[in-house]
Amino acid sequence: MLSGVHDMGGEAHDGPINVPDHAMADWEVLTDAVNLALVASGAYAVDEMRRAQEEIPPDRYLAMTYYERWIGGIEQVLVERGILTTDEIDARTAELAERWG
Amino acid sequence: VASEVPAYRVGDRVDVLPRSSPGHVRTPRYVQTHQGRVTAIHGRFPDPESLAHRGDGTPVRWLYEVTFHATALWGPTRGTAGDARQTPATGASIVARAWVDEPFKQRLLADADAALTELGVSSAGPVGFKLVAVENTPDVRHLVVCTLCSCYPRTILGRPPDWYKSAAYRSRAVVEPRAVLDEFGTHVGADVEVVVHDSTADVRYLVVPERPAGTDDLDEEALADLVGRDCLIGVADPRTPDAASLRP
Repeated sequence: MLSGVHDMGGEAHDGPINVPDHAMADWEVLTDAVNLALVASGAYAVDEMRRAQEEIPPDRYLAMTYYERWIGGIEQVLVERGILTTDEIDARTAELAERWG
Repeated sequence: VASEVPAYRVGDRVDVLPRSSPGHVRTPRYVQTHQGRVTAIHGRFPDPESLAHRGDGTPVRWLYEVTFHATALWGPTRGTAGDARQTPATGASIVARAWVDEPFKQRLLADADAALTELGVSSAGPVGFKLVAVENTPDVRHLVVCTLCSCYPRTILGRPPDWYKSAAYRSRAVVEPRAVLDEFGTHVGADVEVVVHDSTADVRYLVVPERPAGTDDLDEEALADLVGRDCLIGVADPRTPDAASLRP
């Protein structure tokens, strides 16, 4: 059967469960809110964003933090739906990097 | 459109088909090819495997809660025979009301979303789901996980904690729930059945923990103060009144 790295039940992730919570950074709170706002506005179904995360290659999926995966999923779906293009995202990223260094 | 009548009834034994299709699959791998028993029918929902690929969610699907015995899934070495898991929360105040009002508790366990309206709260949000409340007893403990992602009753419990989203928890909660509980300092006797609920996007869980002893004199507000997030997920017990008074 074909199933991705996200399908973790009973799989070999045997480390201790790291119980303390980290304080959420502003960008993480914003990512969470943007996703909910996009779903609420009807831009996409939340299942699409979940599926897009599952399509991240396994080594990258495991290396990314939780909200990094969300950003990846949101970006993928917005491009698929023609709401944004990768060129637009890259251009805006470069612009913000320039402004805030 | 799914038929008006579900194909299976509560109590039916069902075999989970292997799924080799590419794309969004909401059947966790560890239950595929195993036999379980239908323990609840949660209604009809748009098919997430269609919505994930920009489909319209039709045909809508009956959502069955299916319970598996741990030994059937994992073999004899990592569980006890009585263990089971099931496919398919303003949390503390809901629990406090359930503790002081038995008829409310029964309504909560029967239809959580309907019962919440009595408290003027709702689990509704941008991402809709059905809330199911499960009750810990001296004989049964419930534990909630989402092995496929991080489904969580966010509208009543807030954002899920980091550990709930971790690979270690998502992987281990279904296969060695007692060891996971031990790690949270929650030690469950061998004679207590542990039921693990693997959430779906459409059905999410709230654990109603046991009311601590020595709380007969406490009012609802004081009781709610004993109920931390982790016991609503099932990994911890409520604080005792003595411990609560020591909190900073």
